[in-house]
Amino acid sequence: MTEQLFVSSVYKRLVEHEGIRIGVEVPLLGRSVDLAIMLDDEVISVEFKLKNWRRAISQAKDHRLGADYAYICMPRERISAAVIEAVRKGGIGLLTVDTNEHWPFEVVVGAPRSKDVWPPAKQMVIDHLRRSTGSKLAPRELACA
Amino acid sequence: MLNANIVAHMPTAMASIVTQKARNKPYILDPQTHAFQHDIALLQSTASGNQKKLRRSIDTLIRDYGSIVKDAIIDQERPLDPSDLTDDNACKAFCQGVLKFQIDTLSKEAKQSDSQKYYRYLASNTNTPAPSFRPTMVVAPYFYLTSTGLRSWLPININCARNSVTYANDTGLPLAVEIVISRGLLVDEASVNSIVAEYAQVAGIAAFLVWVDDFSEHSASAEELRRFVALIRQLANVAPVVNLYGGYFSTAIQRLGIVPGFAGVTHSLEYGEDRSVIPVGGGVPVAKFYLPSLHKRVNFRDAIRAIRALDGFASKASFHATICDCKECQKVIDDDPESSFDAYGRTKAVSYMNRGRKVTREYPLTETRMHTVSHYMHRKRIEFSQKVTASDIAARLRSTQEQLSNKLQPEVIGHCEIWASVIESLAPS
Repeated sequence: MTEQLFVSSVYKRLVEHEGIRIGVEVPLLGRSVDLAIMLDDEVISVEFKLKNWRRAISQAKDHRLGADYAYICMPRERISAAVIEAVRKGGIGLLTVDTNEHWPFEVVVGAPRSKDVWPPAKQMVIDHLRRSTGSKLAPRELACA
Repeated sequence: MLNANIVAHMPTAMASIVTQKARNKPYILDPQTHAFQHDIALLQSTASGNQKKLRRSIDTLIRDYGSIVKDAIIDQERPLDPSDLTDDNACKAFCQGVLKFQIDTLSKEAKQSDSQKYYRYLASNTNTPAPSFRPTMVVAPYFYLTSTGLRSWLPININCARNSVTYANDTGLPLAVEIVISRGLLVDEASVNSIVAEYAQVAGIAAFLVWVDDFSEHSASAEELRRFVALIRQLANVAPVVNLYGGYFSTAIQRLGIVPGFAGVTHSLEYGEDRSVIPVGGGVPVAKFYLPSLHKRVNFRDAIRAIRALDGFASKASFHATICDCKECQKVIDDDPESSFDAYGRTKAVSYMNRGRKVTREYPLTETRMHTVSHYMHRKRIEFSQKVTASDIAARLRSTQEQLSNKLQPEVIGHCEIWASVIESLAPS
């Protein structure tokens, strides 16, 4: 599986949810967020990686400038103790894909709320997502205190 | 500094700049003769039908620079070789062609321009003399010197300098000599000594223009920076020196008077504080902000983190006190500095498909570029004119590094300590 297929498989499942606000390749301060989700007025970013989790964590840290909660998402079998520790240390969250449930994500490590949000960057993401289709809320478990 | 290929590519536009927008500003034209010693593929573009063809501007230069260059590049489709210029008559003719291009090109265009009639009117009806659009100095042909090519190309450079002095004297224009060396050569003390010794024997050089290939002051080691200052010092014993592609480190060295005879540094607008001899390619423009305390353009994400760490977003007054109070920042930053700073980073997202995958890139808006370039120019003006001491510079650099140490990557701020220690060690006590 390629990363592109990884993202699109999750996207296809998310799109099935009525009215959910999601966006792929969402621009954010010179980066591109693989997947961004809007929940009420909160933004959740998800960076997908099959292997290079260090790079994913680095990218996700940058996403905290525009997202309230920043996650990386990896295949379950690639998640090691080292990944979990690095994610926790990096102040981001970790997801994996749940193939059984209707909602595609399982939260492995809940993301803390970002203290780095720069309001204009977050607003740009919101504006971008509002131009996307849909409005239904995503499950609250992605937004952890 | 104007580059010859740009002048060859758009002479009318460049003449317009010289005669109108930059009227009365002195200019020097870099003949870029080193371009003809590299792989000729670098001089070509892909025409229709995937055929490689010499770029129009290069073709113009070749024809103006004379038969030696034409024979090699166009007729034989190969780079110039040192043996092409060992014959003194061939070298003389080459030097004349190169210098004549510098002296005549923009002058000729200017004389044909619309503004010429106004200059003639001023000259005949007022005491305003008709301006000359000749360059301030002419630059001798030069070739890139590397560790492996030094023995072959240095004698050619020296001969070009000697022959150019004679021609320049006839035109009444001072002669500059451009020295382009590799980073490897920079740290080879013996080779640098031999280069300087050779040039010191050429009478009539009015200035040295120095370009060290791909030499970023922000990523250079302390040893490289010291060797660079040593090179400038040795050359300055012969004639004033200008660093063609430098940044604040060079400016500080110059302002502190560490090397008498170090006349200054040049660069482009936001770019050109270092430059590769072999062009690397433009790349995607990204939004960057020149952070004054780092004396460096940083990507916008890092600028936000740095300004936060330096408490620049606390208030407008705090921004101006801790980050920048240049004229542009005074216009851009309002009572909500965190939001108004966005003006320096606004972009437009453009998406396209690449190998079946959607790719999104952000390009700075035109107004973003105007803000960042204006800010950069104002900061550079301050840097070029500020009265400074070595201890002040060192203290500020170290303080900045300490404040930003857990906020930005070491590669972004590491130059602070290196510059501080090199400047302190070189400054007179």
